[in-house]
Amino acid sequence: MRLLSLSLLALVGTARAADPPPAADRFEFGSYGRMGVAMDGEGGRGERRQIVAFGPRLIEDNYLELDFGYRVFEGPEGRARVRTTVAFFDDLFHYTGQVDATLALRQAYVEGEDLFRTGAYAWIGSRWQRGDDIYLFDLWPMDDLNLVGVGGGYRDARLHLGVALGLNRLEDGRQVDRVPVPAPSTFGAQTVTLHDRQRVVAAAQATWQEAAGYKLKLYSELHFLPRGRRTLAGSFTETEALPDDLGFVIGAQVGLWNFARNGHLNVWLRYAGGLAAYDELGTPAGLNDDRRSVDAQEYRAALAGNVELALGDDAAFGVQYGAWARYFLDADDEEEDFDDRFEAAIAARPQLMLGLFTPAVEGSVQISRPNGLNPQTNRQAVARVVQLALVPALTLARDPGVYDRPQLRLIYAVSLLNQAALDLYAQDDPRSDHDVVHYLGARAEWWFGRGGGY
Amino acid sequence: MARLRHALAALLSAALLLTAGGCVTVDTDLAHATQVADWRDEVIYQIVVDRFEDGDPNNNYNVDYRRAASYHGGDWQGIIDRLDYIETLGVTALWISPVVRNVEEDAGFASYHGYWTQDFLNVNLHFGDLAKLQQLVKASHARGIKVILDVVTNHIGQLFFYDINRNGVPDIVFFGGGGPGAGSRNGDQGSELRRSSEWDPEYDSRGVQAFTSLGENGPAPIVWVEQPEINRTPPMPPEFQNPAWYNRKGRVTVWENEAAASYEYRRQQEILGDFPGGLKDLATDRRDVQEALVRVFQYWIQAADFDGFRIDTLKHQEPAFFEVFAPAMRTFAKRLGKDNFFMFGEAFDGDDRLLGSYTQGEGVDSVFYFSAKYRVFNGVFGNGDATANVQRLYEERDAEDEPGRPRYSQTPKQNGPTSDDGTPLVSRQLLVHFLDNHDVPRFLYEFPDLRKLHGALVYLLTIDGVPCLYYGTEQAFKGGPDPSNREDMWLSGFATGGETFKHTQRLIALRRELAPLRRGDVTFRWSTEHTGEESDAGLLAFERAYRDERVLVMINVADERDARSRFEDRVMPTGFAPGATVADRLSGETFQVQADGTLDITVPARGARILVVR
Repeated sequence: MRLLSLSLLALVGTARAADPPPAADRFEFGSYGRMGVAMDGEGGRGERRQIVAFGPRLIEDNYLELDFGYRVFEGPEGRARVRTTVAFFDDLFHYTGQVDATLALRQAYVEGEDLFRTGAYAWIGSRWQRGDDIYLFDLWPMDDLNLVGVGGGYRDARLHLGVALGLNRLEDGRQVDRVPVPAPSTFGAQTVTLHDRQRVVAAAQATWQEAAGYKLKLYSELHFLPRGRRTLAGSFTETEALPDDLGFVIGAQVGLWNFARNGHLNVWLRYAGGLAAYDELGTPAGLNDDRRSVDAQEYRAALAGNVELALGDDAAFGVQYGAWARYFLDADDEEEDFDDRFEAAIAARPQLMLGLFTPAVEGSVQISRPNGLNPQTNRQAVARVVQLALVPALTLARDPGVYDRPQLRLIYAVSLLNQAALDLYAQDDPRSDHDVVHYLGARAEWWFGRGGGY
Repeated sequence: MARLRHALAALLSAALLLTAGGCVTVDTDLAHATQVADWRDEVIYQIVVDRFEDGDPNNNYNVDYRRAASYHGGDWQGIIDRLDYIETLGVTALWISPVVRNVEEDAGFASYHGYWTQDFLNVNLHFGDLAKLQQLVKASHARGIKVILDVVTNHIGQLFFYDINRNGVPDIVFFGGGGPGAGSRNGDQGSELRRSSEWDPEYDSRGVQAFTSLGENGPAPIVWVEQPEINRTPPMPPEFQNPAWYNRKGRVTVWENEAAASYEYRRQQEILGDFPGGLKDLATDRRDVQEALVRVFQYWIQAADFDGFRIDTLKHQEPAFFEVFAPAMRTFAKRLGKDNFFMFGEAFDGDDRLLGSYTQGEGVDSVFYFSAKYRVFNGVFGNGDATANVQRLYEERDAEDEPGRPRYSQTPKQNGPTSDDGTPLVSRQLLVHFLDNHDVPRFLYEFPDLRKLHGALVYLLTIDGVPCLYYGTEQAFKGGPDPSNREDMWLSGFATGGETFKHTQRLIALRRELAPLRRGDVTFRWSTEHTGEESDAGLLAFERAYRDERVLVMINVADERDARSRFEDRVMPTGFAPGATVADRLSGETFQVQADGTLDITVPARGARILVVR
């Protein structure tokens, strides 16, 4: 790591020596955003009905990313860029009247590219590592890591080899434990960190792609949490041991494109075991008797793509589609376990492109079959939500396709929930009584520039 | 590999599931069947689930091992994991603490014991889900072990308060300044100081009254509490939210000065008052309440295939309630294919007449024999009282407190317990004996002498009725009053080599081997008023005879002296054939029965003999 840092410093030094391009040309800006407002059939806030891990994205919360880049160096030894992404979550002053915001610094890193003109790259900082997504579910089914760490690899027009290593320490009792203790030299208490263990996440990928229109990608992750010892709640002197934990991911992707008009297809298979079966920003639950997650498993299969057909010179028809299925078993050895489940969802969005006018319809189905009884009903049942939507839209782009933005949409959606889906809500939650849910909204979505969150 | 098969099966069925919306029960083949041939053959083992074994760390919510009154993590999986241990001990039936969802905590105490019902129809997730409960019962049944559920029909948890001052929030209300002359610096007349907790006000036979500085103003309304973070929310199912379903008379206080109250008044308070701790008393004299309780507890028989109910706080309900409840359960169980569904109740009282009253008519099949707990186990085995008390209490079972009606019912109940040949069993034969339980200090706490415990265990496991062993007794646990008597069983390491474990195991094995110890009639051969230097001081001997077999049990409760089965010219008669050789199954010694059928032998201090014809 020290060598890497020195290399980057050297690059910066060289940049000072070189003749830099004008500052205005070195600045990069991009954004991803989705904003809007909606109501349900009773005048309340329009919200989606999601019963699976990844629901259809047509009905989403507001969200904004602002992406800032600066090319600090370009020379014969390579290029260097600083990038920062700030994300704002759904907390709008004009909606709540509260002078407040929920924001996160999602990316902040320096990357050196094509170092020494070898195709090598290296980065350090906070960033996400993402491959291809299922747009209709806002889901990266194989590789979607949020890391603070270091990475590097090799990249040319056909081959991409990459590795990354990151650490996190979630604000969770499994990873950090802060307790007040008597201050050493004054009155009162000070807080000390007694339990402090970071999850180590390493990832590696290899992608081969041909301009003819296909690619193959292999992907893996390794997660490790060292052993620790935390205090029992309310005590300073009594502690409990927390064992180490381990997990891994392997995945493969096949991608095809250059068929039909703007068509593409991606297929993924992914297996995650142990700690990696849980999101890297999540806390494992359903542990085994040793309080480890090593026995957890997740099988995941997904596909996504689109096809577009020209309808004369001024019109086109396109379909976006996506589907995924996962089977999750937590780490405990319960055979009949409500936490273990098979889930799947499928969505398709046919769309006409009549100049700027791009009306669409969307249909989706979510199902969830737990392996155990719903504790609220003492029944095991398949929960299902079917959603149908009409989406008259304007896409403000020249000769727009299904992935062009910005897009202004009106959305009317109706969601149909079966009883098992209603039973997933608390009995006192009004949503548990609504088997038919209406949504009427006006939303905008955009992306441009260097933003990468979509 | 099993998990991989699961995954493949799930993926293959995905297409079907996309269109299917069907509902399946986890255990679709839950079979209900009679598990018990004769309840006298069973040895019950009482388990406080939270304290037995932690088999699933994932349900350890709000667990704090350091606080005796907190959840400690035990669960149904833990019992499943320890069935080998239970089977090794030899007990044949488990009584598990209540399974229903509770209010989580009250005044810093947690509901780990399970007696604070909030939802009659859902499980307490601290212990597992319904599937796990079913698994426990099935796994037990597979080993021939029966499972008895602890149920509470008298009250619910502290889910409402009495709004005495009508301000809508729960207060501890004070009125007045401290009495005439008090609270005043200048000697002027003051006012009486009155205090009332709106959570748990004292008993008022009119019903708890609202009160302001202007005086009483009618019945205090009750207010359901909404504290979902501790599951203190109105009771479920919703029909239990009807205020009229509760007696609303406040907490039983008569025990504070019991001598000053008439029997009738004490019983009125006990039946109509809230159980201490603010546990709100159901109006179980109402038909609709009775029907609702019948429905919810029938559900549990069906849902988990239990083999019987242990009924909490029996003496706080009208016996008439059980004339409705018990037959409904028997009929329902029988319809499911379960005969011999056994119900026994806890009337925490040494009043033998009161205990017996609950066995009359079509009420419960049996009761905990609290009078034996106090007079025999504590009195004779603990304190060394005269063994004549044992025989006396036994004979009182047949006392006719009302003409023609023995104290403990001797009339078969419809669809009630039977022996395996169909012979009806009556309450008198099925009294549940126990040394201690979760509500009283452990025997060793009150009488810290292993010899006393071991003698008491001999009596428990050789006398008639149904013996009930509190978990940890076999590990010589010695916790004091609640909650100290609810120790974590895992601290014992589930050892099977200890002296008390082996003693208990041996006695249970003998009970299983020797049919007279389970089913035989009881004939007292020796009991005495002597507790001093007399030759027979401390001796108790009774014979159990069943068909052609008989077993003679001799126990000496004297601390220091051997006891002889002879006093002056009187020698202990037996039912053995004259001249027979009998062997002591505990020591291996043999003895010769005299030509006149008597036996003149000694029993060591705090020792026992179990004699059979060799």
